Amino acid sequence: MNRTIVIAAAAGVFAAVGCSVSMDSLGAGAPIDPGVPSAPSQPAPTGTKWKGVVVTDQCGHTTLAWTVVDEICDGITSVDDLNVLRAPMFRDGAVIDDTLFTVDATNLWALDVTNPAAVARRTLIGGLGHPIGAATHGGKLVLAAGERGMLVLDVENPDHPALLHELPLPGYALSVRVTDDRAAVALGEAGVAVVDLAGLGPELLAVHPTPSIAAAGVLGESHLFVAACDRLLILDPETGEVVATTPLANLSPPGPNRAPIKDVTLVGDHAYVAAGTWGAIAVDVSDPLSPQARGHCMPKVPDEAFYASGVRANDDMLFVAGGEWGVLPVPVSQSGGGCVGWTLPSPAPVEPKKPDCSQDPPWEVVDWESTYSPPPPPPIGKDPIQVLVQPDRVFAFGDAARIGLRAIDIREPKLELDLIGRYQEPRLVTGVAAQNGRVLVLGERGGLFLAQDMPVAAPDGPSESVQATAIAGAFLEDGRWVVASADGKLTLEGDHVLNLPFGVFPAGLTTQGSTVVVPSRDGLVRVDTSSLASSAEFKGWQANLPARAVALSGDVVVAAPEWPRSIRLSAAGMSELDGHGVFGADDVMDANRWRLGVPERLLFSSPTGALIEVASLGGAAGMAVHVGAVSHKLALPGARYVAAAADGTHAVLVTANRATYRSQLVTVRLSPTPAITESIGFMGVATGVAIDAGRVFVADADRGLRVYARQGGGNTALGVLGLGGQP
Amino acid sequence: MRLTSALVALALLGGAGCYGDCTLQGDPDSDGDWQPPPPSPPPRVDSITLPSFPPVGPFTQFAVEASAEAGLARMDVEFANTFQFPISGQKSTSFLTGWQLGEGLGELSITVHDRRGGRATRTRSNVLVDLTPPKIEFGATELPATNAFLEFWVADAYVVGRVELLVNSTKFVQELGPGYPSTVGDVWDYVLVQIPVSELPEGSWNASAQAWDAAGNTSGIHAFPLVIDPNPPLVSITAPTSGESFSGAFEVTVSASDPEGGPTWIELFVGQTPVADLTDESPTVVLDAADFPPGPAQLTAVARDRAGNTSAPALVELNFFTQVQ
Repeated sequence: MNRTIVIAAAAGVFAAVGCSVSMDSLGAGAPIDPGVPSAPSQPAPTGTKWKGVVVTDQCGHTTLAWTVVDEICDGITSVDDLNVLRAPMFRDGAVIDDTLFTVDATNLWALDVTNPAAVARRTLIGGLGHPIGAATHGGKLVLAAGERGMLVLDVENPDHPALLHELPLPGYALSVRVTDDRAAVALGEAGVAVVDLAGLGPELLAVHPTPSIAAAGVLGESHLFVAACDRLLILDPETGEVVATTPLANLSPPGPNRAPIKDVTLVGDHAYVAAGTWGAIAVDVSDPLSPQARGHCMPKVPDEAFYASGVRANDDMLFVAGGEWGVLPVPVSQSGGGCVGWTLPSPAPVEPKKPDCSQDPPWEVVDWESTYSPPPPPPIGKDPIQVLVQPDRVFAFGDAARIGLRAIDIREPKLELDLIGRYQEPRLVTGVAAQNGRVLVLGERGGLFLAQDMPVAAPDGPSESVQATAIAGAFLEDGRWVVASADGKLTLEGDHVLNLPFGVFPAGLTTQGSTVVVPSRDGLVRVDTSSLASSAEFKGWQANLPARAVALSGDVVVAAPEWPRSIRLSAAGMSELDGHGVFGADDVMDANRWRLGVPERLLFSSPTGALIEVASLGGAAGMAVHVGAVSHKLALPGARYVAAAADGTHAVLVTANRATYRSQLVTVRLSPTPAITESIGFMGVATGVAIDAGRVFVADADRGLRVYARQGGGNTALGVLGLGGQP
Repeated sequence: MRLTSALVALALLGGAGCYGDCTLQGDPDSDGDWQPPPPSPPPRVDSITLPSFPPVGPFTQFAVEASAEAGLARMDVEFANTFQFPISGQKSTSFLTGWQLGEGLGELSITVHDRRGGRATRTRSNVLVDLTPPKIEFGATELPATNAFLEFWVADAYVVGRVELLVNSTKFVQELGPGYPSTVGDVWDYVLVQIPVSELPEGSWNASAQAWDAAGNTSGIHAFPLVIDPNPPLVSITAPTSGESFSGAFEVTVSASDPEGGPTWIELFVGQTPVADLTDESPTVVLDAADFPPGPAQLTAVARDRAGNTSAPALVELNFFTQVQ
């Protein structure tokens, strides 16, 4: 039922298989060479994922095809499949007292939701496998934690949740729903587990195999209802006997978005299932032996962004987590339940298969983008994957990888769904620079600080509006700071403002004496801060990804992430540096490597005149230290390196993983040959690093400014200058 | 004057007939006066012997047969290149090659002219002339000995035909069936070649690959080093040891090695949560117990070598506790 999309080009240019057209005019010369087929450049919409499959046509031509599949119902057969769920999005939650415990497939976040207008984080912890689903029982937190099975946590002190019990299960725990003293845990291909929670610890009562993938389950008074991807199953919870099945798979519409049965909730004598593009399907289960699908709830105006992944209800209202469309409220208090008036769709028509291979031209080539492409990323707050209904509020969990921000909207549990609060992962700071005792912290909560063990605010920092949009910053030789925003606005200390002819990327500027240098796609701009005159220099290079630059003595070194060699600009002209050694000109053309990780590049210099570059591609990373004509190379741990700085003897690098919300501070000895001397891991998202006055300052979007004392090959944590009040 | 022009034209064409802006319609009689020409059928392009597959390569020859009662004069060919040449006699078979036509996909137009100025045009749609050699794009060539494929892409401007891989005197051949991919003429044809590593010999080899397109162009021989590594790396956690308890920062040190002597990359997990990336040359990281729930926790390290082999996990059991403030 999946649409197969054959990629005929890299970077988002695609073609569909099996159509035909005539050639009216001669296409002279070879056609476009798009390069090796690569994965789609856009993340899949909420609740789905791209899946690459090898397809071979009748001519024996084998290629990679990419389909949009449901992230759960396509199957979770390995930890790698679970890892796909690790993205910057909240997936589920449970409320105990005034604390909302929410999970993102990596960590557990405890949020004080006493005042929905001012949600505060109480704690953030990992070490719980892949926490995907959450529920409560007797004041305890119950988690479906992937390969860890079911976990029970004592959250009496919500600032320090403690693991009480771990119940291994014969499958990957994907969802947990508690009814009275029993829990239903969906195990994907392994079926569904029924767990007794009444005793001191959880006791596995039964694991019932299911004929299709169990995505979620809920226990009713006498039966177990399982959202099993292509059907709603009704089981005897004791014996596991399937007493009834409501096949719903044939409702799947054609196209990349299907109608998987992903979640189920019970209201009165109806079961409501979340069914992807088909919204919530109401099934009358008053006679569990003879369930009847009554209708389905969808937005009144059809919208391709609508994709139901979760359903939860109170007695009056059903709330459908509709993906990038938002939350759909449905009154269910009336007799017969909601959704009944909606006509169930007809089974999807089966399109005749066209030949894949022909010796008889012509064929039609359909631009993939006109066949299917994900809709544009939704506005913030519009992509819930699950909801949690409380008497006075409904929580919508989401903000998917396409936005890249974990967030929860808190709304009135009414038809209007008035927004009464919101929590999103902090993005307090975007970078840091330091010089001569002053620390410039970029971002919404940034500012200018004095460099000491615990920095204090300094006068003459950027205005709030300037620092809120600052994504790149540095100090000039005379000590003045300079910051740039993404739209190319350059602000100098003293409130001088200059607009560049192009946008600036994070860390996308450097200073050279009193000159600001900003690299562009094909050259660079130099801004003389004395005269505020700028000059654009066309250099003829091609930077496909945002280039970085660094001043080195009187020269400037520039590199785009995809370049195997950096370029040095000196009075004598342009010259190429020795390659960084992480990838060569051929390697960087390998789309498979890009699929594992796009190229990244950092350029920085040490006070002793060494030029240091960090390059990465496809999970491989390395450092090159250029001193004069000599270059030393060092393999680095595979990670995304986001910033770097150096003193006379060492370099410090920071990595960040937005999916797992963890970062590392890596210290490297520079001479005689580079070697890693220390690594410190921490929870949070590093965005910058600077060295000054014997201290290392790490900008952490989650917490603020982490401060370390530089000591030889290592660093001693001095503390965190909290800029957002997050523990 | 008009006669002179006609004679000049005839001389230029070797007597093949009228050429260019020829307006004479007839023959001179014995007195040199022009007589109206007798009615005669127009010339014909009898056939263009060009199969729909395979495409025309640079040296592919195909025949064009033409006839004219009045005698053939010349043939005009219009494709990516446009050219003409004289032909003669009442029947003529001409051979054309891909080089002459030029590269492209579209309509081939053949026009023949007879000596009386008559002409006929025959077109053949969807003619594909491929003059571009295929190329090979390699992926990873250092691979584990199980559960992996040697993958590379063979690309051609139009239709990939065949690929050969030579490893340690063993030849792997993949011949593609006749036919056009659906994207022909729009973008290059990229074909993924996958060879299970289980079919490749273990060890380090100088391998080579060569590709041909359906039109007969070849990529030439691409030599590359191929490593099939059967040995996974080894990893152990040297500190802390099982049973240790922590409440704040603690240091983890691992030791990893690869039997082949190459570098290893190590991923560290606490309770199955990834917490740090290390290498065998930087095997120490400082973690914070406050990032994890108090209670028992499993610290796991898994190493990966350059070929992608992963080690058996190294495990230690730790205990985290909350420091009472």
